[in-house]
Amino acid sequence: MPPLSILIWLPVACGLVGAVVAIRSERLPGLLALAGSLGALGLAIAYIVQYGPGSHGLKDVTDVVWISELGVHYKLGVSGLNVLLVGLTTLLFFAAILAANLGLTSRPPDRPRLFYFHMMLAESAVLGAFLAQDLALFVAFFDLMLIPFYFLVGSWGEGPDRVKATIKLVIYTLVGSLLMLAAAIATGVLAGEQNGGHITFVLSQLQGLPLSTGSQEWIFLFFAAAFLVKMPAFPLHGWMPDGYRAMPIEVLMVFSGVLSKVGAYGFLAIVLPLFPQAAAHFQTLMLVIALLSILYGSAMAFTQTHARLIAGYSSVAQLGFITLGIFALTPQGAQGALLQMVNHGLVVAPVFFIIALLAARAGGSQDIREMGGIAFRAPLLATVFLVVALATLAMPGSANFVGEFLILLGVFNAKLAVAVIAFAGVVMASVYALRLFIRAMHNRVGPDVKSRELTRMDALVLAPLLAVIVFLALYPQGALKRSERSVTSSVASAHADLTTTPSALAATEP
Amino acid sequence: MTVLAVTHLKGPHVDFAALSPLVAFFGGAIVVLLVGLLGSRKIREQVVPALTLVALGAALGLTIWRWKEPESILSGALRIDRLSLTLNLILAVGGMATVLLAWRSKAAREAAHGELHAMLLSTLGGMALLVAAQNTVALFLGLELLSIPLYVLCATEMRNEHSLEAGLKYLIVGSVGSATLLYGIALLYGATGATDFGAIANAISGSGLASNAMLLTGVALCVAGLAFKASVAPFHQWTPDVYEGAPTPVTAFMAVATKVAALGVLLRLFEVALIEAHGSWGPALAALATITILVGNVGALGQSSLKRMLAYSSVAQAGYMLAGVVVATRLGAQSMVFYLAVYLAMNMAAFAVIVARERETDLGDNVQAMAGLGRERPWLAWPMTISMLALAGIPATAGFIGKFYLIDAAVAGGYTWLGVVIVIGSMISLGYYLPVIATMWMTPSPTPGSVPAIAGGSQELDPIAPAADRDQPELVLVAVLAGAATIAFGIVPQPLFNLVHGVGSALGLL
Amino acid sequence: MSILAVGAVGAGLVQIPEVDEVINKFLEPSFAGSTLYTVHTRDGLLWFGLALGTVLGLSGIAIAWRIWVKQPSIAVAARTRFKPAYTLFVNKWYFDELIDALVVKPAAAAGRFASTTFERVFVDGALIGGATSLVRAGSASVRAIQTGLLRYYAALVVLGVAALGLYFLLQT
Repeated sequence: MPPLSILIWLPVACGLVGAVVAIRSERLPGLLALAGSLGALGLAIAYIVQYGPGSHGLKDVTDVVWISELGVHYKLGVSGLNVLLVGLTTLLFFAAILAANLGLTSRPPDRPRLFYFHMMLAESAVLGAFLAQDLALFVAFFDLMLIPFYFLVGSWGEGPDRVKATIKLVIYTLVGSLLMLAAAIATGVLAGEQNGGHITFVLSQLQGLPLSTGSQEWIFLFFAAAFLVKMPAFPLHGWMPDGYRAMPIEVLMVFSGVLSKVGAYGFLAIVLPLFPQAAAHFQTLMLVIALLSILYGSAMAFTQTHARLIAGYSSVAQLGFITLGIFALTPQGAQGALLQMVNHGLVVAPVFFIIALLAARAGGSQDIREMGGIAFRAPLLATVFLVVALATLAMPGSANFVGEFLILLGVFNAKLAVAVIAFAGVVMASVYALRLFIRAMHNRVGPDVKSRELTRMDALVLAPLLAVIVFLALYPQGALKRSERSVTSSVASAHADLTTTPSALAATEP
Repeated sequence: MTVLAVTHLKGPHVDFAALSPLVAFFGGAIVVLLVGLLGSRKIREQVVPALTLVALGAALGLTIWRWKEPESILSGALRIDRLSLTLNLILAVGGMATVLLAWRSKAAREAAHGELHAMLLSTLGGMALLVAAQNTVALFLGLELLSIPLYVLCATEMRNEHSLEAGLKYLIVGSVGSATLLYGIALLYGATGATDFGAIANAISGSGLASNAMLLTGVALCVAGLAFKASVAPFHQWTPDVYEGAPTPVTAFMAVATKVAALGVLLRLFEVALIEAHGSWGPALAALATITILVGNVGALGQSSLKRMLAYSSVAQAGYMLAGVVVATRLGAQSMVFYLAVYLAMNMAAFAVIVARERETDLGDNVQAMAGLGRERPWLAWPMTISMLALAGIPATAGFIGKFYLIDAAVAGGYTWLGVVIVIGSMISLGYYLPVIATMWMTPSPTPGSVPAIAGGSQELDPIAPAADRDQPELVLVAVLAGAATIAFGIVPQPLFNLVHGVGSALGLL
Repeated sequence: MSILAVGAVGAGLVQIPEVDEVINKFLEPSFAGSTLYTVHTRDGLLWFGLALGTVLGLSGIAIAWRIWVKQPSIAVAARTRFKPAYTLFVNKWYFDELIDALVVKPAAAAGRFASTTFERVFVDGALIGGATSLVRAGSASVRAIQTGLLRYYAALVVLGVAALGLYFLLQT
């Protein structure tokens, strides 16, 4: 297998070449970006196939010393936790860049060299965050991945307030991320000090250097702040409404589909293995936050009229389920959470794309009061939308059902009361998903609605996403079996601290 | 006839080879001053700056030549070690960048090229003397030698009342600072009976003077005096006014070089002479650093004048670097010098772009002069963007590595909360760095005449305003080189780490 | 309806106890390791259940034939005599209205409360607004002391030196 660095840096290299070389041509940057994202997708699929069911530990490790004084390594590795998410990232970016190239939801972006450069830089940064096996490297990619979106939303966004929205979005997220930076540096330094070793930031080494409980607690809170803002979780979601309204659709597809998952992944890959006592200590708090996210996100999704905000608040609720699964601190819950991460990304990107298609058919408005009856002349669009909507509400038969079932099973075993309330979230999901579908596609025809069928190009963008959704629905074991060992070892220490039995499963590798 | 027995006073042995960088600075000053008296305009405008560059290049080369074992010269008055040599390098490079920025400036025309460049070289010589001083008298000598030409440099645009005001204000405030420092030094001498740093340290440890009232008052006054020069709050108030009023190339120089000198001498004074009293001055300096970081960052918010914004930002950056002094460890000293080197690159990129736009538009240093730069002048826009992101501490820039290093030093030195304060400062700083980037990339360029000229006009406005890169090649060169250095050291920082490696052990720190 | 009838009869034919227990035999391997599999209902209850079901079904058919085919006036009379019960059954036990009142309206109210009040006051107001107004207040005060006049700078300097001196003297 080629080294992981190629997977990470291929997208930005294509973006850079496109930005520098393609002075005259309007189409070349987009085509180069498409080639780059397609290459990354191919590589990601190869890694997924190679990391077969039942695998455990890190594979394809690249380990080079980056800054020797600070103990920072440029270490990359594929594990059960990130291999599927890497596949999700490459797939979503490919779909988004295809959509941008075909100019489906709006004209092709002006200043294409810069647009594709930023998209590709974002893809590289997100891939780097998933594949990093060194804490400092992870934090660096985590902070970096936000900057291309600052430019993408500010320059190519919609609405008169896009600059204010993007500044709010970036600052809010970076507040959490910078707190995480301080906590990460403290982790590296204190782990070395408290265990008589040298400073190191490599995750596998840090797992063997436990911190004192007092240090763990404030460090956990800082990390949690960063990841909760990213997801976003209630009540740190204030940046979401303005941000989601302002983003161009292609950017929104990847932002909602991928970036929120980095936060959830961070919990599983970094927080639970490195700070198990703190995770056990704060379990109730995190479960309550997750529960409130589910309830609040659903409640908001009931009454919103802007289609993007319905999907946005529903994402808050879905990510609440994922957090619930992670902090059940049981293997089933965490398995469900990881599966749901992949599912939610696969489902939310088509939802936003379809919302853009609906808006194009409703006279440009994204308000659901002005939509309605679009299914009339667009049966294929209606079918696709129905499949996606049913997946959102976790209809049995979809992979989302499997994920939610596992999450609820895990929480049921951990904290019964929370699970009982969380069941309500399942019902509420059906309300907002079906509300969006019915109001947009059926009922009375909206005032400016001119419905038309999906074009071949639209289908081209949606097809790969739908194919994977259906594939996972039929064979969720493909995902579950690959991640099983990694997820179990990630949760092991925290689970052990919870049940206060000395655990022989001290995790040594993710 | 009485034969007077004349005791032959033996003066100290003067090691001219070790002093050669200083000789280059001062010798260059004299040569440049004399050449500047020659009649021909061409000689004044071209030859004088070129000679200055030669002198600076010579200083650079001689500094590298002395890159050997540390040595104390002039009977212990100066110490040529890794700290002073590294800071000499930074000063020389900063000086070269300033000469390029001032090549076609109004200040040079009004104040006569020879005088301006001679002042520049003199002040650099004073700075080189200051960072090598190992004796309180040599310290004061260096401080005055650096300050007085700098006061004159601020006032070189002699027909601009803001420039004159800046110079006068700096003179008055700076003299107060120097006087305070002198009182402090006198009290130190009174308490310890020595002026040599090593002797002071011995006196403090030997006779348990660490809680002596006279010594501590002396320390307090020394802190105050040096805090003036380093723009540490609450002694920072001259900085916004002086930076805004002075000619922009001089501001650029001050922002970097005075920080280098002031922080360098703070490092040496407190960690060689007063190291035994660390328990007393450590928390005080930490408190000052905290106030400085907060004051500097909130003060910069909402500033429309870029010079004023960068003035406040430099106050905040001084606060970050003070954290390296506070911890009094090898790591702290190295991180501070690392950040100074990186700070040079980041600042010079920003100021080069500001100078370029001042001469092209009639908006002076207002942030609106940056509007639309992304589309029209990418060679200026990208260095400015990189500079702003680096100052905020975004990964992939050297500013991130520098902040990482400083926070690492703070945590390792037991000042974790100071690391968190640095991070909070970075969060706030996003609020004024991001809008500059937004103005460059996300707003259209102003049509000529749509924005009224600032009352008083630009200090750099030329009657025939150039508006292309080829009209100001030296500025674009500085900007691009500095921007490239910032990114390069953000990705491969090891050369800079090697550069600052011996700084901590040079001071005899743990 | 006829299709459903055929399906119902077919499903019943498949699982007649003691005659052909097709489904039982089909599912048997799934319960291979189960501890509860061997629990059976008592035979008495089984025959009673079968008999009761048959009787109820046949009597239901008989009553329906009587009311709707033979003598429709019974239905009209029953409607007027048992008015409240009739209304309840016609409106499907008012189940829709019950769900509407118990679940839908509170949920919608919660959603409206969240989007109008809570979002505005707490999330945007307290969290974002609070932090930004704190920072803006700091900014305003820092810039307010920059009067440009040296005398005020000198005042702050004196205060600063005094504070430092005091701190250090307290260390003695």
